[in-house]
Amino acid sequence: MKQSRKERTIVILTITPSVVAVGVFVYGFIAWSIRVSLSDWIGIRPDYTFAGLKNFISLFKSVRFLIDIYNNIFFTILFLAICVGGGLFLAILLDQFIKGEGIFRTVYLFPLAISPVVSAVVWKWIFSPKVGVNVLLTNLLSKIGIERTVEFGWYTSTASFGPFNIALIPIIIAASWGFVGYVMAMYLAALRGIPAELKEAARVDGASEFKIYMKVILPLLKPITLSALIILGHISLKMFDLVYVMTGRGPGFVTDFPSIFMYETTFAANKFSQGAAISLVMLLMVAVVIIPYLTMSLRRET
Amino acid sequence: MANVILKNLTKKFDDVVAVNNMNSTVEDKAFVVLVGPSGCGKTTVLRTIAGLEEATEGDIYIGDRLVNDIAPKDRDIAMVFQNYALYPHFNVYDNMAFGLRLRRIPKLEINRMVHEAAKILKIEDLLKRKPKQLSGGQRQRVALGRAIVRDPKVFLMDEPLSNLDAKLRVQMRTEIAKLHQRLNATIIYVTHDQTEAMTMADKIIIMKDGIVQQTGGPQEVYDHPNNMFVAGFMGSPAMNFLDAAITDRMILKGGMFELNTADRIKKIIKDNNLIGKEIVLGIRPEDLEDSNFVQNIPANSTINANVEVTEPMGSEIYVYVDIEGILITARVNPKSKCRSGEKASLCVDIDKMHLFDKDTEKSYI
Repeated sequence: MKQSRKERTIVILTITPSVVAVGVFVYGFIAWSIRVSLSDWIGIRPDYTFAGLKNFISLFKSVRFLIDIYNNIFFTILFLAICVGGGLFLAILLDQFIKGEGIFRTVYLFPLAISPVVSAVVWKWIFSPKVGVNVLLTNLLSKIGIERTVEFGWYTSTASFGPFNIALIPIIIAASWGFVGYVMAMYLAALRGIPAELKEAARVDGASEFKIYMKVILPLLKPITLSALIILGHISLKMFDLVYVMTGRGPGFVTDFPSIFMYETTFAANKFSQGAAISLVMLLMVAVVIIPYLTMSLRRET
Repeated sequence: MANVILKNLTKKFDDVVAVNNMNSTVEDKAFVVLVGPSGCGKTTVLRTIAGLEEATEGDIYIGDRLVNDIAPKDRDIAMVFQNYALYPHFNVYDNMAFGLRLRRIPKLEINRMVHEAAKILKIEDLLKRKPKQLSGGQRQRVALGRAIVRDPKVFLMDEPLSNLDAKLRVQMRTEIAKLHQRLNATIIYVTHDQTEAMTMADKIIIMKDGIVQQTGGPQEVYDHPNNMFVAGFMGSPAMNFLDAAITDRMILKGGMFELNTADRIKKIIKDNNLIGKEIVLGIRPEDLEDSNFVQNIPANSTINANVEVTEPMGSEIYVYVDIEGILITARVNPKSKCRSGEKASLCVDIDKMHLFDKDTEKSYI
């Protein structure tokens, strides 16, 4: 269909501001970050002396950064597993047309509306070694006749399970609490979109309720699972506010993340070139997750 | 194969009675059509037979076995849904094989059964395709294939043709009828389309508001409708209804017409003591003809009225005339000169009139 000149003018006028804004503030600043990461900029005054890949080389030699990457990957795997598994479970439960469904839906979704900084403070109290759940566990034990003070270090613990720092557990719980309702909402919407006839056809075909979910419903939820993994994946790889407020880098970097490292390097130590290098590595990690998704959805559209 | 018997079947959704005390028998190998306007309970009956809804009261027997408390999968039925309900993530082969696999039939046997069913429905070329890649008619065939591959005792079909375009619907109608002969199966078929009911059924069950209005063969319910609802529902265009009084000389008298009665009608009038009473007169559109095309018009057998609209159909013309504010349809000879706005004289086939009670709407026999 051929557009009239007037239509084309309107299209150009409406698209231009966002194209310019995205061009400057996203791609422009990415380019600037790349330039800074290749420089020697330390201190307040900009210094664009070309320094090659020096910042990246020193980054991958830094023990802290390698720990950060480890932490972030383990965090991401568990965070995704809990959110997707828990979200699916809650959605299937809610999809049984129970009474008070609206209330449950709101309750599950509510954490998403709370600022991560606020929930971080609350979770920090809950998992504080001297108060919080430890007190609760101590009381529960005394109820069944065991007089003993529970002393888990939680996020102050430096113990690890293989390469996985146990101190990450409270953060994973806090982060999952925030997002499990979101995944639930995605799955619930998809479940509601599956025609009831499909389940009935399977029932007449001879499938048990369990088989109906395994063979018919779950395969149909695959695209939602993929979207959830990607959306949560990039959130997880950039996770900052919750961790920074709840625990910071932790003793021996047990709860350190690349984002915290980047923040401290750039804005506390004023090593702008090194900070830019960290942020670019983070960008690459996110890109690994996002780009296949974008190409896939673009291909589907054309 | 098996018969299906419904005894005092009642289904309530909270306070709404969807099916009210239904008693029907579907004979072995019969093609029975449940027909009625939307919301009449026909689909609920089908779903109750399938076991997707639980009967509130009454019993359902499939092949002499009481199935009230038996799960759908153990009732030995297959259902074809209105929207096909094909599994979108399976290809055609897997769609058809799904039910067989759940029954732990050996692989080779499944392969043979699916190919046989595909051959019957001429969908062998489509076995590797996903439902999304099929046209509406092809999906319909696959849905039928999924049903026949299991070789069930009873087929339940819920408006299977209503999503197809008009031409395909006529084609599939014939194919389903052929399929019925070939499979020798018991089929219960739900539709709101009286043409489908007339053309396909051995027996028609007409429902309204959860109550069975009439059960019988297609010609029987057409020629001898029990009440005004059945008379108006079966046949297209619908039967015309006119208020009339019966005079002492057994003449039907309306505001704009006086019609003589044939012997058959006279007997009905005598049997029911209708002289002097007000009744509703029913005339089918094909029993009205342009008087210019009728030879030897009997006395008092025409109605003169203003033509409102004419619809040429090629093989005939539908003429709509205004009689006392009611639009009456006549199917007349295509050469008729009736024009809208002009007067027309329509000749009534006085032997084929239907008389109904004004209050109960029941047919006088």
